[in-house]
Amino acid sequence: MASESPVSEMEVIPVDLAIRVCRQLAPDEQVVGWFQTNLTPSLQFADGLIFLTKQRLISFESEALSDSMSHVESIGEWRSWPISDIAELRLRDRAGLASIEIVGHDRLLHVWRFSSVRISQARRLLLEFERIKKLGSTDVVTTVAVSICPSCGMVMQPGESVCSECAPSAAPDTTRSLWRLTRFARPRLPIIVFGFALTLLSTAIGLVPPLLTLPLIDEVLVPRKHFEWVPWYIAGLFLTVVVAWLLSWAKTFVMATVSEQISFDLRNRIFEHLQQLSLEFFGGRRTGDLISRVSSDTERICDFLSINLVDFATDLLLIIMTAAILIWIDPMMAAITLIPFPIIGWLIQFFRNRMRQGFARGSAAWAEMVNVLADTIPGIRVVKAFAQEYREVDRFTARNAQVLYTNTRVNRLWAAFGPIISLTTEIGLLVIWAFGAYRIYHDQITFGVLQTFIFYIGRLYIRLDSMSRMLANAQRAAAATHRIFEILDRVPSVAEPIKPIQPGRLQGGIEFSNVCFRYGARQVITDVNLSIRPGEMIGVVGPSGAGKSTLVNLVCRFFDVASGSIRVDGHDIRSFPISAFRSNIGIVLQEPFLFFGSIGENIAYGRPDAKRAEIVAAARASKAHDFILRLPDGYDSIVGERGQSLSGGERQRISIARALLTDPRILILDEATSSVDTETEREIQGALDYLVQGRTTIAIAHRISTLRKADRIVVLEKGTITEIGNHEQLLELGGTYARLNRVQEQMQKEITIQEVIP
Amino acid sequence: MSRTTRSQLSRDQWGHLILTDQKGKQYDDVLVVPLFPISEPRKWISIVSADGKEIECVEDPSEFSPDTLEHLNKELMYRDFVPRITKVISVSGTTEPCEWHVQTNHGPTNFVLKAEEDIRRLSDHEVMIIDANGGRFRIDDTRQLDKRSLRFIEWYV
Repeated sequence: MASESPVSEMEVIPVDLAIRVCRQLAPDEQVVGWFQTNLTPSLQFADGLIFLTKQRLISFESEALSDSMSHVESIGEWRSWPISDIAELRLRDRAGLASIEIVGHDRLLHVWRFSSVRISQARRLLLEFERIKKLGSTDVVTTVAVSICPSCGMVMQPGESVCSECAPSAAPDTTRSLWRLTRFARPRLPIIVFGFALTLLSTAIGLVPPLLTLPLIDEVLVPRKHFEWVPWYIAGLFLTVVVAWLLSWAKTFVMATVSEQISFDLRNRIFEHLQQLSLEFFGGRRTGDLISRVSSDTERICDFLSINLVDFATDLLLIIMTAAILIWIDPMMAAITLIPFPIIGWLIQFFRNRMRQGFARGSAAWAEMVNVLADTIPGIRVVKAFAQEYREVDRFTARNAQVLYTNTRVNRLWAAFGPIISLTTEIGLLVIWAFGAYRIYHDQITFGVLQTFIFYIGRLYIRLDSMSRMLANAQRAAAATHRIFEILDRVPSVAEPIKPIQPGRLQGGIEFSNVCFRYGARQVITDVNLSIRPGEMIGVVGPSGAGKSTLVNLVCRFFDVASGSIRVDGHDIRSFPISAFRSNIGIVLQEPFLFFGSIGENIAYGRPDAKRAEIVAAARASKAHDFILRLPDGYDSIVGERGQSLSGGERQRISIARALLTDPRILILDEATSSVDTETEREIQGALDYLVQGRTTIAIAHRISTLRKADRIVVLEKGTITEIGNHEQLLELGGTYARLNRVQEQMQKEITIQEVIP
Repeated sequence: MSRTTRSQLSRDQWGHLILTDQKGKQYDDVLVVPLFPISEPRKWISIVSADGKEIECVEDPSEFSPDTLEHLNKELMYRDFVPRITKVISVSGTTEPCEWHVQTNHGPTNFVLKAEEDIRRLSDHEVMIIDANGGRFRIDDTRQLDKRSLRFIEWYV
């Protein structure tokens, strides 16, 4: 429940403005809402303000250009309208330009315009206005309905049309995103430090060989003396090679292990977190997207940590150390050698950037092509039925051609890349040869020094290329990290109570009082009041979209009510711990979902410790035992996505057994029989009749015939209860229920006639 | 429940299994169906009439008389023919369908594996294989297999 005090509203207004506003107010006047417009009547961008008090609507409008609010007083105009003069505030939004119209009792009073970005604040103001209008005075603290974002399930602020979570955010900051990964690295710190020590060592050892060949050339080979030292030099070189090999092996292994462990932690955390998130989070998201976040994004991060990051560190160390060595040997030569470095670095970066764009375009084209597949193959029956095969082939060909085109373009660039890099590298080497030869001629350096330089530089150029690759991968890994934290940062919108009441075994009396619920901008449930006795069966009928499923979702606490309350056994359901409360509820859905596993395990899903005798008893009661007997593996038959195929009715009976086994106090039947044929329905109905005995039941049904056992039937229309009573009472009432009943009986007759006369 | 009140199984001259229930009523040609053939093959036995209706369900068959128990076990043996693979001799290829040549506790045999998911892990070291014709094979403990055999299995599980 969000009750807003005027004070908190005022806090958001800049101080200097607040002072100016206060001057406009009467002594007892209090600001209850405000809104900042951003356009003048002539559609110039300039800030304006609208204030709402209990008595008046006050506005300030700039007339001239003014980008700073500090000047407004001199060039703006204050106006005000008493609330009683205003019949209505009307909000319009057309293609980026929105407006608020003040409609008086006989004419339009005024119009403010602003860009649509501000529309959510505007809506808030309107809500406040309606509140004041309705109550006359706001002394009574009313609550503004909170709403749930339809796409991500976050709680939205009143009046917001797009929730702040879903609003497109700027591209993630690479370094900051990656930095957040350190949270997962911390527990593994010792092994990470060890890994980096290994990296440092192995890089350093890799730089030793040229330092050995330098004296070998200058002391032995060029002067042609002390040849007895050669074996020692060779042995030294061999030793460094072996040590370098061992160290780099150890380094790679250690870092790969660490990164694997980190991504293990990440995957676990995400999955754990996902399981805790409230149901509506999953509503607006594609399963595939979530799966890819858990699997491929963590994989990408793992790769980045184990390969790219280590390589990058190695490269960076190598470059720094090499530069240091070169400067130490001969500062003059080092300067000449290192000058082309930034140029080549820039060149590589430039090419890589262009190529990255090309590849991105390529993968977008690829995704488009895959979309055609994903569209067409599952819908193949429709395609064939409408004889549109050739059109689909054309569609695919067009997309495929796009893939070819984008890839050809990037290939042109890519093909040039390697040769250009080697060209510049070779030129760089030539410069060193030339300069080195000049210096040797003047006896400024020895031949050994030149050779050492050539050796080091060759290595450095290769490193530059791999470093640039790392930058691209870092960006990709950052994006993956961002996507992962998007999930981890989300707080379940159905909150655990701070001081929970243990529900234990509930009696099952349910009491709805003034229950409202909004889903996005849509008011789904409005002011529902209903009291259900323990053990009573309530049938809910109504057209689709009337809010029937939402109503039971509220009972299950998949969502929380926006205002009002649902009480079970006299306690608000929000005061129970969620899982303890839900263990009192059994649900049978329209499409029963069975997990991959045996039938026995599926029945025992809600109570994994159930004994075999209980499983068999539940299956018997739900009339599932007989068909399970006929399966080759009985209760051990594997069902679920890749398992034995069962008919809808069979699956439904298993799900009934599943609900029965948990022995719930409150039972929800959400169109449990609507996806099966009449024959199967009759069988399931028998199982259901057993299930509902002694339990508080809320049964949603399309077919009125399935509710014949209900104690009372509720007709829900547009989120409100329009009729309530038992079958006979409702028929007598002659309202919606009676009409539905008539239509369905009529249809049933027609079906029967059709069956008799084929 | 004492043994005397339990129903009896017997075999008639046609080889049909006959169930005589506690009240003396006879059912001809009954079937013996284990409810949990994989997780608990020797308990939870259902006796089903020829037309598929369950007549009786027994959690612990040891309550039956020794004669009945013998009939029951024999019937279960036929019903529950799952050779244990002790060695994989060869596999025809790495892509399904492929033919497996295996050594089992019932002797050497071949079977065709239709798809990857037909080999499934039952517990950490227990594996079940269903061949293209629905025949079953099991490995009770993969740790008992030789290295070569294990490699074939590990492609899948």
